[in-house]
Amino acid sequence: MVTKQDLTLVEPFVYEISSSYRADMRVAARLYADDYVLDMALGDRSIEQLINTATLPGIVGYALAMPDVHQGYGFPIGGVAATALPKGVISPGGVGYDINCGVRLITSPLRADALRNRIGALMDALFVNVPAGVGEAGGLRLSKQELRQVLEQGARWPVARGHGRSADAEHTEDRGCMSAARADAISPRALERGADQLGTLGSGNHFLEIDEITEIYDETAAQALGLYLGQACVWVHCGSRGLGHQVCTDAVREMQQSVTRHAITLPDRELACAPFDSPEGQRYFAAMACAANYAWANRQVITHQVRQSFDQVLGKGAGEALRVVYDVCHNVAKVEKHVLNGKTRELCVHRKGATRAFGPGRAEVPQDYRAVGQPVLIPGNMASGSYVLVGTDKAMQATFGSACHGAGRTMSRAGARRGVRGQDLRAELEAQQIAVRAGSMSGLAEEAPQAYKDVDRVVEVVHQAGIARKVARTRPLGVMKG
Amino acid sequence: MSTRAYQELEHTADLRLRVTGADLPALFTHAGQGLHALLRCRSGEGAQPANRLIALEAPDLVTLLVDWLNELLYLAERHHEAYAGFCLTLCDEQRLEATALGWSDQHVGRPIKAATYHGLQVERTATGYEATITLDV
Repeated sequence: MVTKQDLTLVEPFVYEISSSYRADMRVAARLYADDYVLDMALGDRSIEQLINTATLPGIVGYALAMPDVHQGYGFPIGGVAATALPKGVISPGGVGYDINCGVRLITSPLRADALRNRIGALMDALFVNVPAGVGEAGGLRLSKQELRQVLEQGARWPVARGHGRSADAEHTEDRGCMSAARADAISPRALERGADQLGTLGSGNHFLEIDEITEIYDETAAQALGLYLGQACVWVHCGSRGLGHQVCTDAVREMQQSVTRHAITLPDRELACAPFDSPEGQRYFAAMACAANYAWANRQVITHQVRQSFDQVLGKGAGEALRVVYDVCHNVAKVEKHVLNGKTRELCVHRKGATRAFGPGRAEVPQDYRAVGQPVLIPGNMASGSYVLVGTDKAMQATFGSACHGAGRTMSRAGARRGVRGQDLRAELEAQQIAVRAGSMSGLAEEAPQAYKDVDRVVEVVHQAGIARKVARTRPLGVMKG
Repeated sequence: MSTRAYQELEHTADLRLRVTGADLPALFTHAGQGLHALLRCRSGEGAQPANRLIALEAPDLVTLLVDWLNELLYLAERHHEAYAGFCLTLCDEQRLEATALGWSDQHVGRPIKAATYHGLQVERTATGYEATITLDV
């Protein structure tokens, strides 16, 4: 059992567990935290899971946990781990089942004040136009050939068919397409699950919100991102749906067998992994890239549905005027170049419940944002709102260009249900002028604001630690849950 | 040790399901029933009886249990069905043959993406078997 005595504060907001803490650790582990975050992290199995991550073959630097850390399975949620290529491992458990679960921020040129008396109608239109719920189909029905194109083209596929414009894909991480994708790496079962779910939100913590920008912290960065006080915006949070789940299931199953062949010993079978350059590693990377592309296409189709909803309620042109600010992955493994001990190395960076946060000047950041850094989008909860930050040079040096992905849960789903009635929560939110559309009241209760950490505290840690910089804050006007 | 066939345990973000059984068929049956309870399915107006034949092989018991739950999740999502009853005709440490009995036109009320291997062991107890499975939601 890890205790506070096992952690050393090595710099403000950075705690370290030495690599000597456990014999199988290959690197030290670092947690970004203040006292509040640290207490919560020590309250579940987060740190133990972080230490397990530090045992992965080929891991370099530190096993990292962001301040939204909480226990997951295999990696902790909020975990970042980089392995050195070509022999370092890739782990599907280090990405998770909802591959490229991520978030997209879209702004309207309208002020929130102009929408306030139409929020109910807008939320109704979104609830009708954006299919949601567990396993629900209802999106685009794709032929096998079309699905293969989606998997290899990502967000560009719907854009080419009129579901958006090229600027949407340009303002998406990796421009909405991982080039490593190979549709023939996907199992028939995964293809089957992806055939009718493109353009669907899903359920659980996935959401669609209309928000108002209520704080600007950095005028220069806000201007570069096109954000201003009082502006209306839309958040979309969803992932790769059943297709992504199946890709992970298939790979974890395959690597259960191959770890022995590769002489890999693991403290947890969910950390199953394979050398990046092995057939299993390459197959998973290609399949994972397909699922990531599917998720970007999914958020692109949903963006089109949001535009249609704005047109229907506010008149033609209101949808067209919506602009994609950025779109980030939360669950992914990427091949990236980072400077390590003075040398540029090619690494496989796993982010599981973490956001890429590349600093100014990186070629991966869209040209129009390159001077300020990559937008880092951090949803909080359905009552208090969310944050926009930008990546920093410090993140490039300290966290492989990574920051947190949200507030992070602090309460179990059963605990949330015991403490909150969905109907009461909806009434409370409506009393705060937040319109709620939800497919399930128990599902709404499980996602109650009190089930999450204080997003202000979490974001303050990454801001104070210097791995991302606050730009703006938003507050919900309308929330849709699957 | 709990004698309940299945029980939801606390987990910060996901779900944990503890299952027990006097023998392996009972353990697998209770795991399927526990999964069904956690999925919180609702019947549509067109619900009809639906059965699915399942045959699995795995290198070890833990993998067989994970495969079993992931197979049920896949079938439920793919066919919009829910399975509450299970008839196991073969079940040892590496093979399982079963019929999952349930209903069509079902809407899942709670998302479960997959059964994981995280910390999973199938343990022998004084009264049979016990396992705790972490499910990603």
